Formats: sequence, C-alpha cells, structure tokens
Amino acid sequence: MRAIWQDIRFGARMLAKHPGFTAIAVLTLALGIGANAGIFTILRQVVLQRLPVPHPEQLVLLYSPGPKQGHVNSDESSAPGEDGAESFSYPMYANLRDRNSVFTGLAAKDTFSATLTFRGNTERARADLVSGNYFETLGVTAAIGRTFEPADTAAPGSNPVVMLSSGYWKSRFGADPGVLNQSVLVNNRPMTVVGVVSASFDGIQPGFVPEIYIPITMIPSLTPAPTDLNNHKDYWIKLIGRLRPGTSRERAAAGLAPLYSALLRDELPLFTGWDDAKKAEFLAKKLILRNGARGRPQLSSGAGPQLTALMGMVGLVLFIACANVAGLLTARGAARQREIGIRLSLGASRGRLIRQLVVESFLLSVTGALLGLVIAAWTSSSLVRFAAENGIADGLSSALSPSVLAFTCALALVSGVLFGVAPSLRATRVELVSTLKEQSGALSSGLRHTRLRQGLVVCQVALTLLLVTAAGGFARSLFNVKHIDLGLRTAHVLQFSVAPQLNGYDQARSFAFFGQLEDRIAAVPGVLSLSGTQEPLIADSDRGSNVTVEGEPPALAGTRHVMRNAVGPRHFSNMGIPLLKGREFTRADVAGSPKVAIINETMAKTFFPTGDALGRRMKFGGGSDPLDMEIVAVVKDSHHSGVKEEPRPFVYIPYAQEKNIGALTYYVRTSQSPETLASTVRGVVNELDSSLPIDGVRSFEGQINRQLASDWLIASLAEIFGALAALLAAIGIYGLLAYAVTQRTREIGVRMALGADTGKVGRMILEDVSRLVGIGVLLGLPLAYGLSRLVNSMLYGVKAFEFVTVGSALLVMVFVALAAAYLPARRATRVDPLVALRYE
Amino acid sequence: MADANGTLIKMEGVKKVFFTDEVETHALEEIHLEIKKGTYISIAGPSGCGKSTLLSILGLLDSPTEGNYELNGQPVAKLTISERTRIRNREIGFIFQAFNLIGDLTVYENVELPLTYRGTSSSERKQKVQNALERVGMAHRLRHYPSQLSGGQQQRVAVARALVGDPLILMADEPTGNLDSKNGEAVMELLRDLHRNGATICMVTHDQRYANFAERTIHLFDGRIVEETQEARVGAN
Repeated sequence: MRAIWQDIRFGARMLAKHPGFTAIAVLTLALGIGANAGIFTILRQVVLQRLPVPHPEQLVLLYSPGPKQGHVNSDESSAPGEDGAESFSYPMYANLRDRNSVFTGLAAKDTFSATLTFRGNTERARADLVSGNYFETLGVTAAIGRTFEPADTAAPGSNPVVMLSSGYWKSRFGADPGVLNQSVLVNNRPMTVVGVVSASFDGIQPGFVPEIYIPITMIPSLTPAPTDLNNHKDYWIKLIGRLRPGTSRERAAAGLAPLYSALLRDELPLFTGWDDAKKAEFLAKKLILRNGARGRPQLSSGAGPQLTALMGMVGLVLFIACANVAGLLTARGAARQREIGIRLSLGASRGRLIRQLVVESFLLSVTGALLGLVIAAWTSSSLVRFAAENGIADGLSSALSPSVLAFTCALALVSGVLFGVAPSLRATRVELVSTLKEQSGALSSGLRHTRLRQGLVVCQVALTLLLVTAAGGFARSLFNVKHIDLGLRTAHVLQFSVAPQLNGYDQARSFAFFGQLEDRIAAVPGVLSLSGTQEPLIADSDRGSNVTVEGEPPALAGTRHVMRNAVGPRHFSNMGIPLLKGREFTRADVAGSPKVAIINETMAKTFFPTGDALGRRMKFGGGSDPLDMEIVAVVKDSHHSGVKEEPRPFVYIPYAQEKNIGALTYYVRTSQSPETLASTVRGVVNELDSSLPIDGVRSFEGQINRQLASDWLIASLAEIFGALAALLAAIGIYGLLAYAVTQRTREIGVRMALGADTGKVGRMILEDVSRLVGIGVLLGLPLAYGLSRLVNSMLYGVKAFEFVTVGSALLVMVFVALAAAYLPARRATRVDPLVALRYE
Repeated sequence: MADANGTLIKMEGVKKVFFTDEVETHALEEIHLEIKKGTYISIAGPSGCGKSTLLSILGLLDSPTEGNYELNGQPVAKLTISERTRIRNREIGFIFQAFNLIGDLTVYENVELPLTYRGTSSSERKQKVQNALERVGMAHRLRHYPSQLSGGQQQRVAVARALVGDPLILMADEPTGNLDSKNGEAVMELLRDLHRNGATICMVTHDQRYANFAERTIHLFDGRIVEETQEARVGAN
C-alpha cells in the first residue's frame, strides 16, 4: 500500500512537472468522459431509469391492438395496425379492474390540460386524470395530506378533490402546508386540495410531469363537452397494473384472456356496420402486457434511439481520446526509456514499473473524470434546458446521480486501462545495456519503430471517418428537413392559444369571446390578418374521422379515414395555403347556416378521382344520416401536424360549425417582427378576460423550430462530436509525425547532405501520413457502412452512406491529415544538415 | 556471502555473441575470471574490446551466450528475469559513465530508489540514504535535483546510490568518462577510499591512469583477456 502511495505521489509530481502534456491529456479525457457522462445522465432517465415506486418490476402496461369503432385518443406512436392499442374505454377499464385475478391493482390515467385558479390568479397546469386506486396501485404516498382512494372515483363528479405534485406545490404554493383542504378552481370548478404527492414521484410518463392530479371520474364536470364514462366506444384511458407477486407477464396475460374475450363478446353488439371478418378480428383481440417498470414509453421510444445513437457516438469519441492519450503516453514512454532503464538496473521489477506507469495513467484518467464531471454537468443541464424549452421533455434532471457518478468512475477506470496499459507494457520493454550506455548513434527509420502509435492513429482515423460520416448524414438530414416545403407561409406570424372552455365558458360564450378577440387583434396596427384553428399547426396534434362522401361505392361509406381541423374565416389566405377551387370560409359560415367543408388536393384526388369535388356532399362517420356538408373549396396540400409528414386526405370545417370548440390557436400575420406583437396580444386577451391564461405565445417559425429541435440537437451534437474526433485525430497524427521527424533529424540531415531537396523530404513525410490515413480510411469505410444501416432510420431524405456524405467525410479526413502533417513536414524541410549531423 | 576461499565472482568459459540479421558479432570469447571479496579490479582495453559487455554480464544486465558465471557461489547465468532483478537490487551497485540519475527525482530520492524497490521501511531508508550521502560528501544537497549539480557532484550521488544498499560489489562503467580530470580524480579517490573500507569494486576504464587505481587489472582485446596485472600496492598513480 505504501508503495502504491509512493507511485501516486511520484506520478502526481511527474504530471505536475510536465504541465503541457498533462493539460492536453486531461483535457482530452475530460472532453471524452464528460460528454459520455452528460449524455448518459439523460439516457439513464429516458431509457434506463425505473419508476421510483416499490417493486417497479411488477408493473405492466396494457395494450390491445385490433379493430375499434368510435373515438380513439392515442398518444403513442405505434406499429402499423396497432394505432390506439394503448387506449381503453372506461367501462372496459372498470370491468378489467373489478373482475381480474392477476393484478393486485389496475389503475387508469390520462393526461389533461387544465387551468388552476388560486386567489384570483389563473394558470395553465399539466394534469393527470387518475383512477382512485392509482396511487395505491403504484405504491406512491402523499408528502402531506392523503392520496386518492377508490371512493374518490366511485361515481362521476362525486368527489371534487385535487392533489398537487411536489414540484407544483413548491413553485405555485411556496410549499405552504396550509394549502391542504383549501379550495382552488380547476377549469373554473371548485375543488379541494387533499394532498401533495411524494417528492420522488413525477408520474408514470417520463418527459411529462403532471402538476396536478384529478380523479378520473371528475372529467364530465370539468369540460363542457360531455364525456360519457359509460361509452364503450370512447377509447381514451391508459392502463397500468401491478401483477400479483410471483406472477409473470405471460401467466397474467393468459389469466386475463378468458375475461377479455367475454368482455369483447359483450361489447360486440354495440359495434355496427362490420362484416363477419371484422367481427372475428374484433373478438380475437388480445390483451398484451408490456413491462411497465420504466413507465409509459413515449419519451423512450421517441428520443431513445437518438440518445442511444448519441451515446454510441460519444463512446467512439472517448475511444479516440483514449487512443490519443495512449499515443502521447507512448511518446513519453519513449522519452523515459533511460529513466526506466535506470530503474530496472537498480532492481525494479518490470511489473513494478508497469504499475507505476499505470498509476500515472489512472491519475490522468481520474483528473480527466473530475474535470469531465464539470463538463457533464454543463452538458446535461444544457440538454435538459433545451428539452424543456423546446417541448421535447419536462422533468428531466441534470443532477449527477450516484449512478452517473458510478458510470463516470467506470469510464475513468476503463479509459485508464485503455490508454495506459499498452504504452506501459511498451515503455518497460527496454534494451537495458544500450539504453544505459546512451547508444543513439544508429539512424532511425521513419515510423518503423512506432508501430503502437501508428496503430492508434490508424484506429483514430477509422473511427473519425465513422463519426464524420454520421455527422454528415445528420447534417444533410437536417438540411433536408429545414427545406421541406410545408405549403404554409411561416414568416411574420405570431401564434398563441386561448382556452376559454377551461375557464368555464360555454360554447356560445366562447364563440362570442373568439369574435371579440379577432376583431380587436385585427385592429392592432401592423396586423395584416389572423385566423384561428382548433388543432394547432405543426405541433404533433392530430384529429381524424371516418367519412362518407357522395358518389363513393356503398361498401366504402364511413370506412375511410381522413384528418380534420376546424378553422376560422380567411385561414387559408392567412396561412398562405393556395385555394385551387372554390371559396374560403367566411364569418357567414356559422352554426345555423348550411354546413360547408374544404378539402385538400390529396383528398380530392383520392375520393373524387374522376370528377370535380366542388359542390359534392359528405359527412363525418357512416350510417344512414344524410350527407350534411357541402364541399365548397379544394386547397393545396399543406403540412398540418409535423414537418416530416406525408400528404394525407384532409377536411377543414369552419370552427363555428364545430360542435365543441373549447380552445383555439391563433395565427396573427404581421408586417413587423412577430415577437414585438406578443405583449399587445397579451394585453388584448387580458382586457377581454384577465383570468384567462394565454398559452404558447411564440412566432410560428419558432414553433416549427421546436418541431425540429430534436433533429437540430442530434445533428449539432453529431457535428460537434465529429469535429472533436477530427481534432483529436489531427492531434494524434501531428504528435506521431512530429515525434518521427525528431527521431529522423539525423537521417534527414544525411539525406539532405547526399542531395535530397526539400520537396523530396516533404514528400517523405506526406507519404508516411498518406499510408496511415489510407489504412485508416480502408478500415473506416466498412465501419461507416455498417453504422449507416443503424442510423438511416433517423435520417430524412438521405442515407448516411451516400456518395456525397462519404466523399465529404473523406475530404475532411484529407484536410485533417494535411493540416496535421503541415508543421512536421515544414520542420523536416527546414532541417540544416550541418546541425542535424551533430544532432544527439 | 563469498565461498570459503573468498571468491565472490567466478566466470568460466564465458562467451557473448550478438546476432543482428545475418551478422554474428563475438563480443567475448572464453572469459575465465575470479574476483575475490574486497578486490578492486579494473577491466581495461581499447574501445570495442568487450569490456562494457563483460561488465554488463558481471552486473546481470546481460547474460552470457555460453559459459558459467557464479556470483557469491550461486550460478546466475540461467536465472529468471525476476531473480536477476532481485540480485541486481541487493548484491550489486552500479556506477555509470553518464551518471544515470533520474532528473525528476531529488538527490535523496535518487539514492533512496534501490531501497524502495527492496521494500525497506521509510525510517531505515532515511537513515541509510543519509549515511550514503555523508560518505560521498553530498549530504548537504538532499533536496537538489541532478540538474542543479555539477558533473562531479552527480557522480558522487550516483556512487551514494550504488552504496546505499550495501551491495557485495560495485560495478563502475567508465565512472570518469563524462568528467573533467579534476572531478575524475576526485571520484577515483572516492572509490579508493571505499575500497580501503572493504568494498569490492569492478571498474571498466579505457584510461590507464585510472586503471592503475585498482590493485588488479585485466586487459581485454577483441573479447579475450590478453593480460592481467596485479599491483603490490593499491593506488600507484
């Protein structure tokens, strides 16, 4: 132990005595380790972390893919044919909960947008509607007060109680315990605060942190739109169950199958218009139980692959960093041959010297890791802030948890071994006699004696090519995405949302409010036009229905699905969507007037392939009701929910003819910078109703950028990591060539004395670097091809292994090699033969 | 411990051949040599005659191609690397032409090094290093680094390092080779003092003046011992 302490002391002194070397090595490692720890901090929370509840391994999420009829509210991206598989009706939930024998508890939840008014101040709040047994099933307790109980959801609207999340209690109520049993208004409905949820619990959906919890049976009294809890055809609830101890998912699924089949048989008569095959498909639906230990998978399935790709990239950066430091240590080992020879002659064993050198390596890696933690904290807090600001995920923590610290320690250990052991083994292989005699008279021969460093540089080049190729792929993908024609005029538009329904407005009052708001904003100087939409644009917000159109084969009636939105007058001119035929909606298109619809080009081509759509009639849904809407226009396709979406059949109706409009998102076109209009808009809303929150005030271009945030993030990080790898590779190549030129000074002197000109000497150096880079590229290309197959699914309109991307990456590598070789080559060509031949 | 008649080193038929590519270089041929405990012996000869090779084999830095070599009664020609390392550490003290002090260690730490590898306790190390440095007159430079010392002073420190572990024999390879004549003389006087106090010394030199400091000189030429002289009185310079 004492000997190791001596090694540590000596190692620390050696590092302190060579501050340049130490700084480069530590900084290189810190960047590699820090980037890894930073990305891991996020990856752990998104992909790896279990819910902070007792026995999370017992939790399962319920899915049931297959035919549905009615309204489906889905919030998971699913495989084809599995749309809405995660959503269940309330009656189905109640039956499963009460009649199963495999769960100790089956809980339900759905996310909900609410306003909460306290002491006259109204704010939007993220809410979870949860079943009465939700907290009991999860094993989550209250920090103060109580959690919900099954009795809280015994009957619709019976218990107007609310729980606060710990974070919301602190931020909105200053952690005042006096808030217990006080009344607040949720969506203008008085409710009593009965408890604050334990601080460790942030809901079961990573990335969405509820601020308040509301009993699920309160939903009918919180929205004017009637929500019928007895409706078997309204799929909106997400289920999470806790298996009985010792019950596997497979056994539980088998145990549930008879019950589920019976429930489906009971429901079947409610589903009309299906042929026998469809009915058989419905009755064959299965309940699938998926691992719920990590909660609902929206964030992990959305951002998980990208984070995993980033983790792989930073892993490669760390590997390159280790190769670089190994190269530096090898060079230092060569410079310390004499010291090592002396120690060996004095009786140090080789093992002892290897230990001493490895201790020095670990000092470097530990110092790098400590500095890396600072970089990790900065990286993760930047990522967390970026994710929150761009709506990617809430509630992520940038704190360096014990597992991140353990991960960093492991990285330090592994990197210490990676870069320390091989150079130590090499450095202690000393030719004792000649080393001690300083026999350095022989001419060295190029890079022949630096095989280890050459190997390291070749690895660096290969891996850098890999990263630069990936970075090129992501950069081109982002370029493609940014240049997608959305079919919308995006500049000089301010958007904002208001939801008077959440403040208790009924439909008539809401329409009156919208009318006043539109008039007032239209009168603001600089405002050119405005329009409102029920579903916000480019915000991942979708709404769809089956339709029946005039003239279609009867078998198709009510079976084809289209997307829909309710929009205000002059929406298409306001958003720059060209009208191909017909007219815009006007203020005359109101509830009592003839119902009208506008369809997009894709719908016109799909539903009316041979004739003119204009003047044809249609309706939402099937059945025998008359076709109640007339198509009054066809507009050009435009993007609705996302930047990367493909054109889909789309129906627009006037929002004034929609049954239930509780909220609108407005798009205000202005002649000035849209942000300058924000305070004016707030003022107008405030004048109309000071208690009405205004949400999502930002430029429309800002909204589109939020949509592209994750693409931008991965492309930017890939470029940063690619650049870092290229820089490290350049340093590696430079270090090797500079060392080789120093070793070859006498040889170069002899060559020059014998008549070699500077061009020949320069070429000699370039040949060395060309050979190394060539081998690295040959090794790197197949790796890049392999990688491209992994990342192609994350790219848009481009493949990672394409001529342009790979060609650009090769050009980058040539540039890196030439830049790295420039100084050593120049030094070689400036060798003075007279001086060199005296060189020692 | 030397054998009954005091023989510390015994070489019989030692050969050393270097193989480089297709060239065989016979550095030593048929070396027969006995060194008794307490002897001061010098190995002399022109450059390239094999004297440093012989010293390297004597000091277990290298091994013979053929022949027997016994150190202190123990055959050492075929020992493993770790056994040779252990013997170098405990029974041999080296003094090199280029001093071979470690520039990043202080005088104290340089001298302490063989004891560190031996596992000697800190307090014992401290005492032994102090004694060794006092013997060579360098105790006042404990905290200095080699670069802060003159060549002569560095070689004194190197001598202290060779002495500190109480070795059976001191191996000195051209100890004055990098010194001016004044410092060279001083180092030779130091070695003579050590010998007078009982040290066994084996020194390689190509300088006849310094060879004469030894009581016995063997002359090498083309890898063979061609002559051996024995002085009746030590230090006839």
